[in-house]
Amino acid sequence: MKTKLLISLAVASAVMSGCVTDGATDALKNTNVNRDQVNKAVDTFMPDSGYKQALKGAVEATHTWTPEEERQLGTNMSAVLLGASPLYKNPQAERYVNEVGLWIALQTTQPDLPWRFGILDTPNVNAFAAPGGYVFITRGLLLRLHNESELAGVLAHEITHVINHHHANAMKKRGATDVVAGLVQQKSGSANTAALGNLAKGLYSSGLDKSDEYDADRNGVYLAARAGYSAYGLPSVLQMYASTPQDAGLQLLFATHPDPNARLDALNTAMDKTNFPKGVEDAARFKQLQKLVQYEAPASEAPAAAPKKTKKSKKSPA
Amino acid sequence: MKISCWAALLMLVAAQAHATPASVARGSELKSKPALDATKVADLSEGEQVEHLGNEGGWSKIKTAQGKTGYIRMLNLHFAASASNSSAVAGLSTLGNVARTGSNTNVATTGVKGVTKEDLDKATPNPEEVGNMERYVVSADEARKSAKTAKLSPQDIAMPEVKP
Repeated sequence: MKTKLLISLAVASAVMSGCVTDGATDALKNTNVNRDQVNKAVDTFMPDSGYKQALKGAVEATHTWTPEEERQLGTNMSAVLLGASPLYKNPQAERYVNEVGLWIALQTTQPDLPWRFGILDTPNVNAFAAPGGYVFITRGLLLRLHNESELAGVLAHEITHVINHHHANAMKKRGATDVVAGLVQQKSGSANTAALGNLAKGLYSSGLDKSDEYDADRNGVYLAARAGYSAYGLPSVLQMYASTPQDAGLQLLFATHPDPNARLDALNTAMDKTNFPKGVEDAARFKQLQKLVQYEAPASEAPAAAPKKTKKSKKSPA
Repeated sequence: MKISCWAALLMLVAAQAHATPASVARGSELKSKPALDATKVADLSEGEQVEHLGNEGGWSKIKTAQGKTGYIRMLNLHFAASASNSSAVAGLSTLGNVARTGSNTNVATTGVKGVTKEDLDKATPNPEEVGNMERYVVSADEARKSAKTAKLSPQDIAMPEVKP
């Protein structure tokens, strides 16, 4: 035990002397010491301070989630988003977004994740991802899109967050590792659920590292193109963001993402060397969707309105 | 869908499609068509104010202050959020009143859910709703079939290299 503690301390001091994150990662890769032992050593021998928290965060960041843990994390994070805004319970619209989303996800390195796509029933404009295969888009954003390649661009951006573990890594840095492990082992469920919920609220409110957003943009355009779409769907959405007044419905989007003009500039550099095929820009099914997600005027103001048909009748007229 | 709703929506789309103020992000050429080998209409200088009229593939159709119309590479444009944009569009994201029929009375906000920072702070996690997502799951085959109706096929495009 003493030897292990000494090794742990050696690792800890190696970390302190170098670049915190890289140092910790390399040091831990090269030893058989696990993060529990390092954490224990840090707790025992280091006084409470910002350095201690940074070191513990760096140690946490070396933990690799199992797919099961990542799914659990994503399920709990999705519950927070859906606690703020429920699903838009129109089966046709929801299934459409799942069809488009899954088609794109099938072109990634992880086609077999249990991908789940959902429309949040809010006029706010935004899209979200959660680990393990969860992707959300708001009804408000769907209404602002002009064609299916724009939807594909947004979904491909979010899918990239999942594939590249952006939220999972960010939650690790926020100290979610033990909480998630507890949930997977079904230990102290309610306390862990509450703790994870608060961590998720914090992350969704403050956003990912800007570099992760640029990464999702860059990979998103290539991914959409791999799925047969025009690569310019996402840039077109960014143009829309950049030219839209920043009212309350877009506040969180702007607070958690780099400036849209800077994102356009980054894509200009990233896409410069590739000659993208023309790709598909729109599809009839997208126009159907936009009818389905439309907000209706209240009944009192629409006396002449016929009952809304969500599906075309298959029957031909008698 | 009522015709008046569509009229309102079309007006909004038209308002967005026309005369969105933009600026030239870096010196480039205004082309007569959306193609690199198209003839040059004018030289555009960095910071030049133009009007954005719409997009075609990787190109944006614009109108210069001198009244010349043509195409610029889409990613060579910047935009500034402008108060002159339709306030109805702004209202859409908060009140969902896009399809309202000319009257501008506010939709009651009671019950309108949001995903603002405040909404997230107040949110009680809803695991049941996560379970409800299972109702809308599609199979890979269904997704492929649907993609085919949209004339989509996988393209052999390498993903960008990961930066060291």
